[in-house]
Amino acid sequence: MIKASGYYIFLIFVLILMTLLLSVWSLAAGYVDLSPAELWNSLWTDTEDPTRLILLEVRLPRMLLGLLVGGALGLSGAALQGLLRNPLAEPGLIGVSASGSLGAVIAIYTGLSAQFPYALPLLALAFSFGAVFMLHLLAGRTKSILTLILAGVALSSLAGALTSLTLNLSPDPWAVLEIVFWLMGSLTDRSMTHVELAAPFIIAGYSLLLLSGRALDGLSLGEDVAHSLGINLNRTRLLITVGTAASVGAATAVAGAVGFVGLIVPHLLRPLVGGRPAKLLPASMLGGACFILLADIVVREVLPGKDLKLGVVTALVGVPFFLWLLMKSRRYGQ
Amino acid sequence: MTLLGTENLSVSLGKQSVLKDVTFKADTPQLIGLLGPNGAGKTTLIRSLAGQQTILSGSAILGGQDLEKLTAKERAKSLAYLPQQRNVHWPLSVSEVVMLGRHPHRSGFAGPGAQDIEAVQKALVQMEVTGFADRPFKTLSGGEQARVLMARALAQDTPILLADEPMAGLDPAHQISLMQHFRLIVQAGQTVLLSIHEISLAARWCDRLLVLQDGVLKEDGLPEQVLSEETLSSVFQVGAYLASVANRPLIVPLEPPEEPRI
Repeated sequence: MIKASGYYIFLIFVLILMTLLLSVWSLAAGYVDLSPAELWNSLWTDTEDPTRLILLEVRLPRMLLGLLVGGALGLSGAALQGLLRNPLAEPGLIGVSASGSLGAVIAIYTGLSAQFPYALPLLALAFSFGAVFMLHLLAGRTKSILTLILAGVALSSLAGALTSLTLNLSPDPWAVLEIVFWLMGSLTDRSMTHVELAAPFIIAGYSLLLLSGRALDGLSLGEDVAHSLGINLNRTRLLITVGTAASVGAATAVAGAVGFVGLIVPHLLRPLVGGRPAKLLPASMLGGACFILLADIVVREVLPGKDLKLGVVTALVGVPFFLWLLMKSRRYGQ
Repeated sequence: MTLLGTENLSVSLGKQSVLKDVTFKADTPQLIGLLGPNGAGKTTLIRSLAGQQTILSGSAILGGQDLEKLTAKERAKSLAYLPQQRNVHWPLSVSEVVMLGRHPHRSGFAGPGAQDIEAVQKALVQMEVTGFADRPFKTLSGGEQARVLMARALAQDTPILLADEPMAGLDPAHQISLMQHFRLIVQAGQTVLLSIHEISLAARWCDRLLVLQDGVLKEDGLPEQVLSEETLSSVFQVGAYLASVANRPLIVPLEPPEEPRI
C-alpha cells in the first residue's frame, strides 16, 4: 500500500551518475581538446605540465562552481516552491538574486572590483543577506505567505531599478559593458579562490534547505494543518530564506545572475518523485547541478570563440523545454 | 478531567469581538456538534481550540491542561484539525497524504517506521479508502477526498479531533456516511467537535450540541433539548418540523412563521 521507495533511490542514483558524467565531460570540454585519459594521466605528471595546469587552475574550479551553483539554484527553487506552495516560485522571487546582482554591479561601478578582485563576490553576498534581512523586517510579523511573496517581489523590483540606475549613471561605457556581461551570468575564468569563497556559504545553505524537507511535506496540506501537525512555520520560513540567501547569494556572487534553473528543474523532476517536497529537494539539487554543468558545456562547445554567457544559454535551452513541459501537462489536464 | 473545553474564552479579530466569554467542557468522549448561523464564531472557536488563534482572555483546555502551556509537539499529539478547505498541494498520492498525519510521531530524516505504516493502514481501512490508496489525491471526488483527509487526521492518532464544516459540499450519502464514521471514532474513544450547518444531521447524530450566536454560547445540551422551536426561530430565523424517528430527533428546517402584522 505504501509505495516502496526503491524507485526514488533509483532516480537519485541516476541523477548522481549523470552529475558525475557531466563533471568529467565538463573537465574535458574547452578551448584545448583533452580526453579524460589525458586529464587523468596529467594528474600524475610534474607540476609544470600545461595539461595539468589547465585541469587544476582553469577547468576544475569551473566544474566545481558549476556543481555548486547549479545545486544551489535547483535546491532553493524546490524549497521555495514548497514553502510558497506556488509552482512559479524561484530564488529570484524573494529578491535574493536581484539584490546580489545589485551588490556586484555596485562593486564594478565604483571600481572597487578593479582594485580588489574579491570585492565583487563579497558585496554580492552581503547584498543577498541584506535582502533576506529586509524581507523579514517587512514580512516577519505576519503569518501570511502572500505578504512574503509580495515583499520579495517589491525588493526584487527595487534592486532591479537600482541596477538600472547604476547603469544609467555610469559615465564609463566599458563599465556598462562589463556590468551587462556580468549580469548575464558566466563561469568563465573563475579560480579556486572563487570556489573557496563560495563553497562554505553554498554548502551551509544546502544544509539549511535540506533540513526543511519534512516541514515542507506538512505544508502541502496548508498552513493551518501544518501548524496542527506541530510544524513551526516561522522556523521553516527562516531556514529556507536564510538558506536561499547563503546558497543563491554565494552562487550569484561567483557566477552572476543565472536565471530559470531554479524554476525549471523542480518542475521537471516533480512528476518523477510523486510531488512530495521532501523527496524533490535532493533530486532538484542534483538536477540543478546537471543542468548548469550541461549549459556550461554548451557554452564552450557550441560557439567556442564567442564567450557565450551561461545565463543566456540556460534561458535559451530552458524556455522552449519548459513550454513543451507546460503544453504536455496541459494536455493531460493537470 | 476536561478532555476538551474553554473557560471564559474571548477572542477578537482586529477590533471586532468574535467570541464572548465562551465556556464549555467535555469530560467524556462524545460527538459535539457546533451550530450557529454564518459569522457566529464557529470557525474562530475551532481555531482557538486548535491553538491557531490569539486568545484575548480566558483559556482553551486540552486534556486537562491549558492549551497555551503545551509544546507544539504535545499539542499535535493530542489534537487533530480538519479545516474546511480540502486543499492538497502537489500531486500527492492518497497514502502519502494520510502518512502526513504521522508527522508528530516521527523525527529526523528516518523513513516511516512500522508503527507509522500500521497507523496509516488502519486509518485507510477505517475510512474505507484502501481501494484508492495509490491514486493521486486530486483525481478523487469531493466525498472521497473528505474521507481521505479524515483518514489523515485519524493517522495522527490523537484523543481529540476538530473538524470545521466537514459536511460542506458533500452529497447526502457521503454526509451520512461521514457522520457514521464520526460516531465510530467516538465509540473508539475519541472526542470530536465539528461545526455543522445541517441542523437535521446534527440533531440525529451528535451527542451534544453547542449553539453560538454572535459570539455568545446560547445553548449547550442534548440535541432534543437544544433544538427547540424557540431556539431555531431566534438563532437561525427558521421554522421547523420536529419529530422523532427511531428514537432520534428528526428536525426539518422550514420557512419562518409569519410575523403577526400590526
